[in-house]
Amino acid sequence: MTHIDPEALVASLRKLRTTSPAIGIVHQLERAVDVVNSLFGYSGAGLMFAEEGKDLRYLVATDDPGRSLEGAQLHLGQGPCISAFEENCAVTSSDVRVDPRWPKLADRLHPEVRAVAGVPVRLGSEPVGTLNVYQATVYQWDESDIQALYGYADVIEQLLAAAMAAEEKSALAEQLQYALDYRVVIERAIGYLMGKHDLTATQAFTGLRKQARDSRRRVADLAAELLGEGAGEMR
Amino acid sequence: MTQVLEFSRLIDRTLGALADVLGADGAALMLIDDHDRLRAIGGSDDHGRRLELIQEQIGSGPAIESLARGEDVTVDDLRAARPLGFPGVAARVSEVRAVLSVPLRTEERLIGTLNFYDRMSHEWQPAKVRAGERLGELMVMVLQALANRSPISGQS
Repeated sequence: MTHIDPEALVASLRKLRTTSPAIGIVHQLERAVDVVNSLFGYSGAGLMFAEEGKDLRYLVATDDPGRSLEGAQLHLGQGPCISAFEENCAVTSSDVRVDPRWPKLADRLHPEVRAVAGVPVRLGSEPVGTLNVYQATVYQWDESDIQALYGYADVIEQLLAAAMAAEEKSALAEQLQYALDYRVVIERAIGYLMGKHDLTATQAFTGLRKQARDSRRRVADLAAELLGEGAGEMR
Repeated sequence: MTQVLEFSRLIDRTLGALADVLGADGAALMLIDDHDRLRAIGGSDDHGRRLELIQEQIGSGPAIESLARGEDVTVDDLRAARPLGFPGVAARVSEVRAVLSVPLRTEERLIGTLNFYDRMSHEWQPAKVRAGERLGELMVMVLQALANRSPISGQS
């Protein structure tokens, strides 16, 4: 039993529908992670998501160090966030750079990523992704940190559930798939720029983003264009 | 009908999750409906639901004031005399003492208020008020996701 008046809710949603543009779930999740990040006051946050029956991939990161955290774990197939997803429970590291559980991670991380915490984001009881936060200094996570992180993961779960309730499952999956594919194109373009100009991943992404902003294009579109040019040069 | 109940459950769970995150005893919601009336949607528990229903009935309270002013309203003790409290509301929902009402907006348009409450009276710290505002943004995101669906089409 809920404490909600269904008739009043529907009448209000009807009003909201006429005054508010439809916003895609991926954009909503980006905004939600941004809110979580600002409320926590940690150095950064991110959200990883798994396609049905597939591996975890990153969907949202608030900044470059956060992207390096998620990218490094995906490259190595291990790390605190991947463990949080696989074990369906909170996983923390006070200093991931020296954590013996993931010895290869440090080489691929932005220097500002030190303490990391991840909790599963679930739909029903099944994990579908992880909500992750990091600190730029060594930090001992305590129970209140973890409980707060679980609380935010719960809100994100409701947002996902709302999108699933409101859209055809296939349409939602399509949006998420498109966003995940975006990231692949961007990652490949970063790799291409790193090799071509001898840049770090952060430098390559910052340059790509700046060029996209300057030319008023989406990062993904510019990345696809670069990859097309790169393929042309190699022929 | 099944989908409407699913929506209700989602709002119920979202209010509970937002209250947990803020460390409040509960959270409740009022929204403007398609006839431009401010409606009591409900709360994370029965106290929250009654807090909103009473305000809807008497046309007074922190949520009504927050919407009228378009800004946060903090009430340290609902039982305090006006203008600090709302004794008329407190008399009918004695379990609620401290209330924080934050306006909800989409595209700069007011759509309702999100209300956090505690059973004990206390001062609302600025950091908590700011957190309440940001949590209001998450509430709006959930509402927006639900608004784009067929069962809510048509007039009431």
